[in-house]
Amino acid sequence: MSLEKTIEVVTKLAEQGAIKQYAIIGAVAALNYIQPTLTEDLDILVSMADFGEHKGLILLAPIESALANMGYTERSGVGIRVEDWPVQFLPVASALDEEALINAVEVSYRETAGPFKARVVRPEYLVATALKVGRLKDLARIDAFLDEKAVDLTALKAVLRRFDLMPAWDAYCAKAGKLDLLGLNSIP
Amino acid sequence: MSRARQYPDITDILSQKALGRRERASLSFAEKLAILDKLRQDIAPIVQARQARALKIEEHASRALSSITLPQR
Repeated sequence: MSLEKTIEVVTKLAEQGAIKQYAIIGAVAALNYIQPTLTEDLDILVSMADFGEHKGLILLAPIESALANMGYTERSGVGIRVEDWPVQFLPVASALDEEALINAVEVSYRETAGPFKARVVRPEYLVATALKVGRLKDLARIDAFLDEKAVDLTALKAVLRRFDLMPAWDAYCAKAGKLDLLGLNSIP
Repeated sequence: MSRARQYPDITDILSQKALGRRERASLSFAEKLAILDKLRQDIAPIVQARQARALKIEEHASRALSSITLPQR
């Protein structure tokens, strides 16, 4: 029962074609770049093509049935339990999500049985998403990315500009008392 | 007359903490996943206690709600 195995199941879903495109997002994606922080679930960003639709409602049925075939049927409060970790499949819900999914990077990992690859959202998209969501824990995550110099500021600024997040960035800087000390506004 | 209180210099502690953060950040993805597993395992009793408390509150609320008798018309 480990997160590594949970991610392995998600990649199997992709290999089987049950998921067309996926990327790890949220706290687990962030830990690829910054120090690990506690989370209770694994968030997977999935293309809309992976969801069924019924009368305007987005249905998880195709992914759910593929997981059921692999023996994972238990639902948890926030998703489906896979190898004891609740996994939440999030459909692409904005242009930012869509670009984050397309530009996700492949991360090789595995301690024991040979290398293994998983798709993980890039840091600039994780920061932009955290800024957009804007809960305290998201702002703390942005802080960690900046403190640990884990995000390329030029790439971040391009994403923030493309998705009209500069006002949110300014608000974050003011709230965090940074007053754009990192010079993001001075990056051309 | 109050004397200005002397506080210890904790710069060294803070820089050690920052170093720890940087070291943890530089671990491999697999190592970090293992840390997350361990963290989750460690807090499991706390999460279970929180869920049990929430359940108790919910039961109490629903008992209180069912004991309310509405006036007959």
